[in-house]
Amino acid sequence: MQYISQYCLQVSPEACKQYFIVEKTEYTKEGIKDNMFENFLWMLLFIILTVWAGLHFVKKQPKMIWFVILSELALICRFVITFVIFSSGTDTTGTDGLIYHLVAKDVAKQIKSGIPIWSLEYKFTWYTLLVGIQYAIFGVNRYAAAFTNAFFSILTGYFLTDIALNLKFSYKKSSFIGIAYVLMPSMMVWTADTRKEALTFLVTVVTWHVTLKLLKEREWPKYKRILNISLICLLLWVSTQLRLYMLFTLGGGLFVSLLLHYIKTRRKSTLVFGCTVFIFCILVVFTTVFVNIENHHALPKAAEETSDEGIKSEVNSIIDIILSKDIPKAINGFLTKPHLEDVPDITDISGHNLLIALVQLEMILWYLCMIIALFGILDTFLRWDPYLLGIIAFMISYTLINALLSEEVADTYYRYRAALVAPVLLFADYRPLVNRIRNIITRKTLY
Amino acid sequence: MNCKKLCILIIIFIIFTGVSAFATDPENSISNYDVSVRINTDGSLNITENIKFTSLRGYNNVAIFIEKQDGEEIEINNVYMLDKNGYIECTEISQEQWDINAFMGTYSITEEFGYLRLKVYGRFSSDNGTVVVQYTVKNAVKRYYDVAEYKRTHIFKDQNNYISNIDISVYLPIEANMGLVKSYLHGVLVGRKYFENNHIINFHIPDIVPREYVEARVVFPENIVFNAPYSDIRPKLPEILQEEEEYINSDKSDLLRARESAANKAGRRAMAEKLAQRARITFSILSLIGSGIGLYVLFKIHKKLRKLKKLPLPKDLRHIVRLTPAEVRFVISRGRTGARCIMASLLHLVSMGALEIKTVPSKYIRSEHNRNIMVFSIKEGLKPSMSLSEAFLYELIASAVKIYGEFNPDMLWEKAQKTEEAQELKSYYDEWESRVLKEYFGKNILESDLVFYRNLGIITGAFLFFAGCIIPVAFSIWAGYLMLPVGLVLFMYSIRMQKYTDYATTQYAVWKEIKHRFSSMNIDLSNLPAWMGNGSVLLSYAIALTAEKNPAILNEILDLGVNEVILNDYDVMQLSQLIKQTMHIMTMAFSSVQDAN
Repeated sequence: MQYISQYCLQVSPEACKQYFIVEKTEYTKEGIKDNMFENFLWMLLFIILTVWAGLHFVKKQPKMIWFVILSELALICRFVITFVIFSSGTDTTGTDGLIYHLVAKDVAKQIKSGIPIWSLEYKFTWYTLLVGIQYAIFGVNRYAAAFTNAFFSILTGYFLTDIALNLKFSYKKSSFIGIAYVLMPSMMVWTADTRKEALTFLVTVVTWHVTLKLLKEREWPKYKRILNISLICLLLWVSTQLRLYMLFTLGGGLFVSLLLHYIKTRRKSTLVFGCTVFIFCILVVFTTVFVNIENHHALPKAAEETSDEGIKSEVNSIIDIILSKDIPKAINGFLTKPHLEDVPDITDISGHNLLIALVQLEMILWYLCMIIALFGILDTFLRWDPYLLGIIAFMISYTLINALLSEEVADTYYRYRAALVAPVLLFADYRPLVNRIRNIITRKTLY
Repeated sequence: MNCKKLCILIIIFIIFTGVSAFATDPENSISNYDVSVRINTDGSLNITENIKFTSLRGYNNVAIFIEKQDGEEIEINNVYMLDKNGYIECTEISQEQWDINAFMGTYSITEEFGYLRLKVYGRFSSDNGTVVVQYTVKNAVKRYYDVAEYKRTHIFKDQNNYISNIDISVYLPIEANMGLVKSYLHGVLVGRKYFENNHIINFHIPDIVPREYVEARVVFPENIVFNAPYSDIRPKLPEILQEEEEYINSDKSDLLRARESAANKAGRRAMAEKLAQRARITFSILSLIGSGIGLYVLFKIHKKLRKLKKLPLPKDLRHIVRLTPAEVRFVISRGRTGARCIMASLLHLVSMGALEIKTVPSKYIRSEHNRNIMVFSIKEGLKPSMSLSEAFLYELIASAVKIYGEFNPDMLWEKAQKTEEAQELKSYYDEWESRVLKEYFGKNILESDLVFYRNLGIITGAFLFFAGCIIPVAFSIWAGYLMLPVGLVLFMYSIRMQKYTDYATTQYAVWKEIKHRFSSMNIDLSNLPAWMGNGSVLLSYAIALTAEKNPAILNEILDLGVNEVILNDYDVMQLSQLIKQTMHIMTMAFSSVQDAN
């Protein structure tokens, strides 16, 4: 079997398809029918889990049952998309999703042959290892891995809603944020395949959720605080394994948030939390980032120079990449691509008018969302809310890193940008700022 | 949402989305396409293609199409790409090649119907890249009874590229009589061909557009490729001439349409590019003007406020405006309140006879010698007239006393550690703070010209902030980002300008002067307002001014006499420690709840 990197797949999926020497497995069209019962059981499990988790999240507000119903609908939509995507066979369809599935199969084989988990060989991303473990335990089934991603995505929506509730947003607004997230078309596509996006978004949102809980909950015993801080460190490490630069964006955002929180509240627990995150980030830089940076496939030009000269050369290469870019154009690309007129050129949806219209509609909504979020961002500066300022720091650093380092390919931008959707939705409300400004300018005093 | 808001949103939206279309990328184009074909005597070809790309969309790979006719065998000999340090040799991607280097200076070949797709992966810059491909084609030249024929498509109809300067040179293995060599060029309307040195047939096509193609055909004496097997032993020349006759007479409207379409597209692109360029220039200028206007408004407001700051300090401080210790703290700390503010208010209430003080050891002070802090209780008797904030504080103390018998700051810290009680404490704090601010800003009313400037600053600042976020992203211009900091600074400055008004700056100067007198041990009661006329009141103001940290000042105040007997029992150091410890507990509690809401 031959593997081709995501780097190639993003720009030329059709060539990659040509290059795969496909292994015949039971998951051909006939095989799908044979495994339908197993898939049905997986779907049922996730539907039940979604209901259970949903009821847990909305237990304080029984009126929000419709929120759980809509989330369930979003989950079922993902199941349908999964079936559509894999209709030509699970071992031949897809780009990144396909390569991760194939690598995961190899990981599963290694596990079954008795190789311990810490000695497993895997490539591209840690996600393949996780899927490989799932395959080893439950059997190779790409549908099951995709359904797990769909469930992760719905969970992300729940956590996002809970963040909004903890920020004292109204139930209506909070559930709207969650529903907008889970029903976003691109989000559905990215999280209905065996891609790593669903897990990345879940890790990001759970990290911010646990952080908020740690800052808000004062009565937690010491052991619980330590456990939660450890969980955040673990999530930071996992997110770094999934996308190398997430350490800098997520860790940086957290650090900004905690620093500002400490300055505002002078709470020792925040200081301890912040120092732990900082020290852990430094540790991860040395133990994970430097080790993996040479294999980081998101860096378009870096690899060749690294083999001889190591990190220094890699850093020089990164600087070269940044200097070679037209920065305003790169930022435009990351935030706004695919432009409406370019949508029909996206390889995956080319020729499907309905999908093209859907993506164009989503792009329009995304532009609107970004514009409305500016109101929320300015309001956050006024209120000087450390938590939200940390999220803004995360969004800015994530945008800059992706704009300056990622490939200038619309599909890549579109997919990578999806990680910003959840945090941007938290700011997408123009009313607080408008009301505040209206209150100020209609008076002669501030109060 | 009413219509007005909707309209505003739609306008912003149109501005933003409408301009994204300007940021179009050009299609891949090639500025030079040199092909050198060496015909060997066995009918095989050694071909070298040298292709220079001038714009690349997916710049980490380029695709080159190589025709493969029936019976031909193609072998790729070398693939080179131009790096910044020169040409590097590319290797074919091998199976089981896992690492990332697989796609740095490598190539892949996929065979499709009628052609090979050669994809070169590498480190191309976004706007140029050069690739050289050398390959051999066996059985390419067809040998017939009378002539031999070289016929190849070098650029395909579906390649969809704009290519300029196409030069194809076909080298015969040996020299031939010019009259016996015929060359034909298909697929383009404009092109030139000429015979050189009796063995080179050159084709030059200035440019082609999508839907045009380049096919070269050379017919030459068959004995030149004497080692090649015969494809057909019948004469072929008449058939070839017939085909060429038909080609000349054929309808070439599709090529004309391709040109027209390309011209239209180029026109549209040029227009879009021109519009984009104009838009970029216009919005760059507008951004600079906007930033300039923002800076000008900032300067005007600042100048206005500076003018106000130059107001002279009153020499006689006896007639200064009466402020509560909480307001004094707010003024002197440039807008902060906090535990010190509350402590000053509490001691002011004590000095007014509304509260009384006891001392008890705190559970949260870790000291071997003295863990005492102040606790407060309601003093029975007449309720003095109090300010809004002090009345609120008094009510809070009264309700605490009713439940717990006294108001112990330890209780605040305990509340601060419980989630719901912390929220309750924060809401009380916010309520009290809003009263302090209301009282202060009730006196600090803006003059109408300052109101105008403040509102202008807020609106301009907000507008520039939004424009600074939207315009540089939408138009990809650096200048737009300038509006972002200008807008943010202007917005924040305008919102907080009441700190710098005539009234505010005067108060600040007055209380700074009083603080200065405290620190220079120049506390002359006769030169201070009557309402600051005893030691107890002075103590509360000293706390508001952070002057109590100096034991000498505290000593001076104690010498003036405080009306709380219990405080008179303390020496300076003990009192200083008592205040410090009480304030420490309160600071911990009130800081801790700042995020609770």
